[in-house]
Amino acid sequence: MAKLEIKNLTYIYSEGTPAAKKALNNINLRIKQNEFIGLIGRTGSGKSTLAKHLNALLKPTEGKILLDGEDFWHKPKKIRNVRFKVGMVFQYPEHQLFEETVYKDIAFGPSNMGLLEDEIEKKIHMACEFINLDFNLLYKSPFELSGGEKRKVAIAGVIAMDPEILILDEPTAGLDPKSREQLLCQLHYYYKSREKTVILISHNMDDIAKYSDRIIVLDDGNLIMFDSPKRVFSQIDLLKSVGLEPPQITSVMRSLLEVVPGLSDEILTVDEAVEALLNFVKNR
Amino acid sequence: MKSFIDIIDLNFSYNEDNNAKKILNGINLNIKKGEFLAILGCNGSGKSTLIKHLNAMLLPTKGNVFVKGMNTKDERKIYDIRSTVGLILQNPDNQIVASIVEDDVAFGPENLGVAPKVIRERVDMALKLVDMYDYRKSTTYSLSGGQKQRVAIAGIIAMQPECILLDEPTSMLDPEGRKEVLDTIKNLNKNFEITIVLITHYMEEAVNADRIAIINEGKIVRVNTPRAIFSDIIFLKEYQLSIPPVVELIHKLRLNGINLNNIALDEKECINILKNYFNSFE
Ligand SMILES: Nc1ncnc2c1ncn2[C@@H]1O[C@H](COP(=O)(O)OP(=O)(O)OP(=O)(O)O)[C@@H](O)[C@H]1O
Ligand SMILES: Nc1ncnc2c1ncn2[C@@H]1O[C@H](COP(=O)(O)OP(=O)(O)O)[C@@H](O)[C@H]1O
Ligand SMILES: [Mg+2]
Ligand SMILES: [Mg+2]
Repeated sequence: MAKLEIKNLTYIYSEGTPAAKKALNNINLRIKQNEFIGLIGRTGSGKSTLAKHLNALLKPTEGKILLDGEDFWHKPKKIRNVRFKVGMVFQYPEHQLFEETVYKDIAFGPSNMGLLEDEIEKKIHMACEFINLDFNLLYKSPFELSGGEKRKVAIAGVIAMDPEILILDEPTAGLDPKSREQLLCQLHYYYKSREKTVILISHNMDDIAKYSDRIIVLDDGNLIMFDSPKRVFSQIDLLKSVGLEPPQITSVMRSLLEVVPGLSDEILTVDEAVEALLNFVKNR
Repeated sequence: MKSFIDIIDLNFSYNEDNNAKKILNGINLNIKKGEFLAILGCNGSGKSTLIKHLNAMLLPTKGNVFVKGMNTKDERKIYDIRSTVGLILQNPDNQIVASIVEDDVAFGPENLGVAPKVIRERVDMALKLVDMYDYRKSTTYSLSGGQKQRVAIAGIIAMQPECILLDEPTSMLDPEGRKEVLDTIKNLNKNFEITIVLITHYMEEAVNADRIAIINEGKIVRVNTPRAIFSDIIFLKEYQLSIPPVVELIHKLRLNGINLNNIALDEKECINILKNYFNSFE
């Protein structure tokens, strides 16, 4: 059984008004438990709209979403439970900080779930370690943090709820390279060791290629591809037609084809590129 | 020769008390007229705090900052300093004040009391510069993030500053929007001699600068050209800066005995270096 199943999902903003906008068009997807999913598409393609459906923040105009086989909206009173199981880090999460200390801000989600004080404290420490947030910052006001620190606090608040499915909408914007790499490694670990499902929205194709089991490609509300990184990124022409570029290394390798015949079009990482070029030199 | 901006032994804490954490810890840096300086460093290292000292939004706890010889602590000069040095922030939505593009751009010069006819000219010129002239009558809320940032930059340009500070102007944008904004910055610098100070976490943006300053725990640990900085892989690792994939590719090929002389700073250079090598291979 799929962990998350999306059936004939269509969503129209401001339905019935002149400003009506179809943001998702008959999407069908089955996501397994313990998958790392990349979600890509140019601005306005519908990524955030899809993500908000998975967290039950938007209700489908048509179609349905099943979590463990159960329709999200079948019992509207239970929607809160869906939000505890499906954690979502929003696109600009730092706008949602509002408590007087960082500690209270991170504690907000777990408190709502009804956890006890000492459990909450444990979760908070776990979340800070996850995101590499200095414990000394816990008693500061969130408004006295640097941009990147604010973002880390917002992510920690969702991690502290320990969701089964974790959705992150462009979480690495504003993080320094080390924090970015660390967040991605931690997400990978969360998914691998704890058998969770992670859905990552990002414009960074290197990150998407490196971590995803499968990639969802959206364009203008339509599902264009749902496949492995190698399959998705070898379709350079299709990607370009929907405003996306493959990882940098993939483009470089493609440009080298004329001087290095036989290079695979499925090279995504630096190490794969080095290996392919060294092989060519050796076998010549 | 005096620099355009002189930062001399700058120390700063957000709290008054003596043992408060020092956010900036003895910064010395000169920024030359017309240069493009990029600032890199970890989250919380002090980049935004530093840049806010350059237009007197923050004042040093100790030390001094001079803009064209004017001390930022001199209250009578605040107005001159702020019209010489404009600031652009990360979030495009927070910087737009009017609902029509050209009104938004006119807002700054209107506040400066510039004559209406002159404002008209400056607004048109600024919008052309950032390539948003065709959108002058559009509503600001309907623009993409990259377009909003370019309108915000036009608003600063209409005040005719000599220098623009940009604090992660592209971090909320998609690749297209990032490229639009970066091209605008490069154009202002190369063709209009506007001094640029850019804070970024993207190495591929920093390689466009004349110099890169790297800040760590409130201190400047290195200032050099992009080529020098990105040639020093050990240094990059030490300060946890990311190595762009094209730099890493060339570096790893060299480590494996492939005889390449240059380092690549971007995709084009990388392709050229490798094409040359494999062309002369037969
Ligand atoms: N208003 C404030 N009050 C107290 N401390 C602050 C305030 N603003 C920033 N700080 C602290 O000063 C340090 C430097 O912050 P700054 O915003 O300059 O960092 P930054 O280098 O711009 O980081 P980022 O890459 O995350 O934007 C951080 O440790 C931060 O917590
Ligand atoms: N609150 C809203 N009201 C009306 N239209 C919206 C709203 N949010 C998004 N849209 C529109 O829906 C489409 C998909 O947007 P979004 O899901 O935010 O895309 P992405 O996250 O891929 O950039 C776009 O055309 C966008 O303009
Ligand atoms: Mg979005
Ligand atoms: Mg900052």
